[in-house]
Parts: sequence; C-alpha cells; structure tokens
Amino acid sequence: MTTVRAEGLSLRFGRATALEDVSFALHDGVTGLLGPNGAGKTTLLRILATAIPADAGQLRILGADPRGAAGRLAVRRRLGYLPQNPGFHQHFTAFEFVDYIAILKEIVVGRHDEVRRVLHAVGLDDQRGKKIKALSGGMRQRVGLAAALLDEPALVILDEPTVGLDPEQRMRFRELIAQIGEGRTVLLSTHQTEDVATVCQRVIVLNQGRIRFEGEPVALAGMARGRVWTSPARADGALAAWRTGSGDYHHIGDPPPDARLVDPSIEDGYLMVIDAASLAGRTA
Amino acid sequence: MTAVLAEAPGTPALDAAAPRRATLALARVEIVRMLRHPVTVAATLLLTGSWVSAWFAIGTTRYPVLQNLDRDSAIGMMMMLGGAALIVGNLAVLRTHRDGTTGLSQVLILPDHARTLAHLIAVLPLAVVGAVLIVARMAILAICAPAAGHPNPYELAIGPATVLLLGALGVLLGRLTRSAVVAPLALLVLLASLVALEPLAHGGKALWLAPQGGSVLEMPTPVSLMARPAAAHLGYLLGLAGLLAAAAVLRAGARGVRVAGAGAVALACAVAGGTAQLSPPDRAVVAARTAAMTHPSRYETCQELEHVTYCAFAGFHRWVPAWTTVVRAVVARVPAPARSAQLTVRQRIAIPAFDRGIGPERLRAAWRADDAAAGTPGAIGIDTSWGDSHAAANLAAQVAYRLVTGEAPVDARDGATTCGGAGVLVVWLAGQASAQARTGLRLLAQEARDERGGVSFYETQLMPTVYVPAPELAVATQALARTRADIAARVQQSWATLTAPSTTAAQAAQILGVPAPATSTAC
Repeated sequence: MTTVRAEGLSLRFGRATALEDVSFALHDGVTGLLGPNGAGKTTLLRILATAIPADAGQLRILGADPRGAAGRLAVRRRLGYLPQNPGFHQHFTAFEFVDYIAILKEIVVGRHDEVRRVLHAVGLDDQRGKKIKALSGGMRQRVGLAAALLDEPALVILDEPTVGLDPEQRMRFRELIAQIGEGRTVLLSTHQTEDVATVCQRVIVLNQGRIRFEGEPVALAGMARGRVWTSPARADGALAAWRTGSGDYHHIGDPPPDARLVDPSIEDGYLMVIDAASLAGRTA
Repeated sequence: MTAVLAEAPGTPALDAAAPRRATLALARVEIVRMLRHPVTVAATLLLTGSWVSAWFAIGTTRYPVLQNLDRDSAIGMMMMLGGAALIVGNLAVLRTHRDGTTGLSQVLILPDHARTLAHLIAVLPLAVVGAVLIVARMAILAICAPAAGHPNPYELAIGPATVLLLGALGVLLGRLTRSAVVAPLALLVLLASLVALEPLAHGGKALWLAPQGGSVLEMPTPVSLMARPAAAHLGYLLGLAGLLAAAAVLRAGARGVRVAGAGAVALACAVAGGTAQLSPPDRAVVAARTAAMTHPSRYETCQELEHVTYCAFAGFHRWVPAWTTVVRAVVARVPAPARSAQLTVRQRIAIPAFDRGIGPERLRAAWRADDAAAGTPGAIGIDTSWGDSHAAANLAAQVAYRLVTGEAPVDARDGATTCGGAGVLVVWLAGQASAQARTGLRLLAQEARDERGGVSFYETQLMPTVYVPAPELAVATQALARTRADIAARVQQSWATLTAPSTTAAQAAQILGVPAPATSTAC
C-alpha cells in the first residue's frame, strides 16, 4: 500500500537548492534513505513530517495533502517521527517523557497503557523509571523511538537513529526497526549502508537534492556489478580504493582487463551512484 | 518511479473532546512539575521560613495585627511564590526550546495555544498553595498568638492573585522570547522598581497600580477605619493576570471570539479595579478616622483588671493581659498607699493621614477632653502596636509617672519634664518592670530624640508624654544595675522622700546607694 507519494518536490533556502524535482513513493515496509552529508535527507524528512513545506511539487501523505492545516493535522495524527539529534527532557524519566509526548499527540484514552506498550516494544520496561539523563545514548534513542511509535502510526520517519550507537546497540536498533516495519511504512535515513542491507526492503539514494536511485537494496548493489575488484596493490584509475583486512586492495571503478572482480556490496553500489567525480576527489 | 497501487486510508475518526482533555492532561503534568520544581520548593520554604522566624522573633510580630499582616503576607508571597511562578512558568514554556525537542514537538498535534493554556492553568495551583499558606498563617496566628483584629479576605486573596499575575507574565515572556534569562531579569527589575517606588511615592495613590498595592498606614488601626480598596485591587490584579494570559494564548496562535471575549473581560476588570482603587475613601470613613483619633473612647470598650481599667479598640482586647503584666510589675514596687491612684490605660491612634490639620497640641487637648468625658481623666496612652521593647518601656514609664506624681503629665510639646527623685523613680520603675522594658529604656535613651539628652517616653509613636533629664536617667541606670531587691527595699523605705518635688537627683542617688550624677538638672 502506498502511504507517501511525492511528485516534483523542490525546496530552496535562499540561493541554495536543498531539494530539486524529487519524486518517489513509499510503501509498507522499511525504506532506507541514503546520501552524503548535505544531500538533503533531513530536509526531505522534515517535509514529510510536516515540519516545513516544500516550495513546489505535489505531496500526499496517508491520503492527505499537508499543505493545508487540516491535512497537516491529519498526517500528524498518524505519524511517528524521530528527528536527527532528538532532544530529551533530561529530568524526565523515560516514562514521563513518552507520556508527555503522548499528551502532545492528544492520546487521552488509555494513555498510560499506551506508553507502557511502546516502552515494552523498544525493550525499556526495566528502564522506564530512570531519568533520561541517566540513560545511555542507545537507550535514549529507544526512548525517542518509543515516542515515535505512540498510537500505532501508519508512517514512521527515523532520521539517522543509529548515529553514535555502538555495534551492539546498532544491531538491537536494527532489530527494532525491522519489527516496526512489519505492517507499516518506515522511512529510515542513515549513513550506514549496513542498516539498509539488513532491514530495508527498498532504498532511495539522495545526493545534492536529487534522487539518484530508487529501488531494492540488491539493485543498488547491482549498480556496481562488474566495477568492483580486488588486487594485491593499489590500481591507478579507480574511483575509490582501500586496503582491506586481508591485505588486498578493494577497488571501485572501471576495472583493468585482468581484474579479479568480486560481488559488489550495497556500499559499493551507493558509492557508484553518488557523484563519481566528487568521490574521486575525496579518495585521491 | 514506483507505481502507485493504492492510497492509505484517510484520517481516523476524531475525538472532539481530545484537544480539551489533552490540554488538561498537559496542565496536570505541568502542575506536578511546577510544584516540585526546586525554585518553587525553595520559594515556599523561604516564605514559610520567614513567617516562622518572625513568630520566634521578639517584637511586634509576637502580637500581630491581622488587618496589617494580611497585606504584609501578600508582599512576601509576591516576592517568593510569585517570583517562583514567574520563573517556573517561563521555564515550562521554554522547555521544548531549552531541551532541543522543537524538531519533534512542532509536528505533534496539540496546538501551541492549547499548550500555552495548559501552562497558564498549571500556574493556578501555585496560587492555591499561596492561598493555603496565607490562610494557615492567619489561622495559626489567630489561634496561637494574641493577635489583634482580623484579616480582610480580599487582602488575603491579593497574594495568590500576584502569584497568578507573575505566573501569567512568565508564560507570556516564554512566548515572546526564547531566552531563559529574561524572566529572572524581569523579576529583579519588578522587585527593584517596587522597592524603589514605594518610598518615592510616599504611600501615594500611584502605588496601587503596582502589584503589592498601596502602603499600610503608619500604625495599625481598627478594621473599620482601614478602608483599603482591597477588593478593587484584587479585581485589578486578576484583570491584569487575565490580560497577560490572553496575550500569551494570542501570541501562541489562538484566535476567535472566546479569546477576544476573555481579553475584553480581563481589560474591563483591570480598568474598573484600577480606577476604583484610586478613588478616595468614603467620607463617612474619613470622618470616622478623625473621630477615632480625637475621641477614641467612642470607639473603644473598657475592662477592669486588677483595679486598672483598660480601654481598647475593637479587636485589640487580646493584648490586655500583656499590658497587665507590665502594669502589675510597676505597681508591685510601689508602696501600698501610693497605689490608690485610679489607673486607666487607653489606646490611641495618631496618624498624620487622618489628621486633617489638627496638629499635635490640639490632638492632645482633644484626648484630655475625651478622657474627661469618658470618666477616665488622665488616662495612660498606648498605641496600636505592641510586643516590642519600646512599647513596654513607654507603658511602664507612664504608669510609673502616674504612681510617682499622682497625676497625669502636663501637656508639653516634648513631654512633661520629670526632675529629681521623681524622675529617677519613673525610670527605675519602668526599667525594672521586665527585661523587655529595660531593653526599651536603653534603646529610647540611645535614640535620644531630645537634644537635652535624657529619655522621652511616648504615649503613641509620635507623641512624647514624659521626659526625664540626663542626670536622673544616669542615677536610675546605676540603680537598675544593682540588685533589684536592694533598690526596691530602699524605694519602699524612702518613697515619700524620693517622690518629694524638692528631692534632687543627687539626693536620690544617695538614698539608692549609687554614685551621684556629675551634673544636675535645673527644673
């Protein structure tokens, strides 16, 4: 089921173009949003979360047009949003914070039960009485996620929720996101291609305000098929090359004739999709 | 582009009561957080602590006048709880900004004006706490202390109203600026301006435009003469609070007839209350004030205790036992034959604001005439403050004067000068009456309002009635430093000599066994 349909979204901040002619659709399941810093990911998510309007284009979210106040309100009633670097009321307990958000979401019937439910869903049963300032970064992110899950939202927008988490926390968070994506639409903005590989059914790559790829993660990896190889020494002419743990060099680019091609990863595909020229500049 | 298969279902059915219920739920959360905020707790402890410490202090606070204390309590409440309401109300509004949750908060459903309304509602319990505290204070004082009079309910409500006003100001400031420094600064500016303006305004009408209202009178008066426009001031404050609240929700985006109506009602209250409170007192009250000052007997009732008549204004009779203690201590040191003088202690008020051009001399004459008409000639004057050492010394000295001279002091601008042995006796009798009276004597002597030195005793705060010169004061002070029993025995033995007009201070010193004064008084 399509929950979001965007056609030709554009947004400028002064003379800078944040988004240009962005069109896509979101369906049930987890969709990853990949892109380098400054690609416009957060701007796009804020538009979808009804925090800011687009300058141009058509957008329907959950059947509503967020340009009008009534449409915005309709979207917000069914939206779960975890912003990038979400702040927390440090002196609140986890329960108090989520309860506070529940009130602001106008959840008035069975509110405390709902708060307990979402805290349980993110595995914070035992931590709900702890002050947020006493929680680890990963637990705080889970508190934020719990708040986003209040009232069973049909659309969940998560802006880089795994930033700053250690590998174990990131793994647990991925498990949570995968669970959340069952039966609803989740848009997950991330820098981590592993996040996309593990939990996303679809992926959108955004760069310089434009969509560069939209499809399945396997297809993203496929974008680099035949253009990834390894060799014992760094090869000239590769767009990117780095030494791996085995001691061989991993290359992306136009391979030499005798290259030992390997299966590309999503990261390889992602790197191929985003601006090759700037990639070459960065890795030189 | 992926093909669109179907649109998600639209918005679920809405609960029309949800915004109202969410607003109240948010208010409940904010109430708890505001009440247990360290600033609120500290303010409450400071306020109650100041009241409790006043209770334990020795002075007029032990004999409170409730019709004055209600206004004083309101000022303390405004500074403490009102200040707390301003700060915690402001912090509650700014919480989202301070904690960086704006990104999430702005896409939540409850509109800003409803959140602002919740913050305003959350200030109400702070006012309720203030009301409970002030009523509890009055009840405790009325029950446990020899309190005079009774508080004005409107005056009592002014403290909580200032809490509402400042709380609403805090919420409004939070809507106007995101800086958390502004509210404490505003509080400091407000308090500084109130402190600075009060003396500048000399208790004038303009002070009623400030939250704490105009000054109280120079000395306590019976309730019926107070005529403070407390009800109008309360309406004025509530109107202002309503205006600030309406401005806050308007700033938060509220629009509509209800907000406009509430703002209009608040404006009407503020204007009506503000105008009414500046109106002069009723003519009948003004006339009654003057009459009560010049002819107190008409407004007092009397009771006799241990052969002494005590006349007090309505509400002040609970102080008679305390007056009796002082009078008894003086009378006890006087030989039995000298106790035959009929003593009357009468409350008097001398307030320049009630004066209407009468002046001290005419006021004294009016008092003498009033005493004579009431059948209590030569009554001893006592004012409407009690509990401090000055009051004890003034009463003891006046009683002593009557017993030593057998007559009332002649009216003189600086008080009747009492020389020789009689002067020594007056001071000694006053000083030995109680530790408090002795302290009062020492303070009165130190204050030395009279350029001749010596000590003056007052029948009200502004009206000296007895003056004892420096040599007599020196002898009496020496006697007070000796064993009381020894001096008392000498006084009993030589009463006639000591009270004789011809007995000098030096001779009195010889009788009492203390060094003679370096100088003598020409009376």
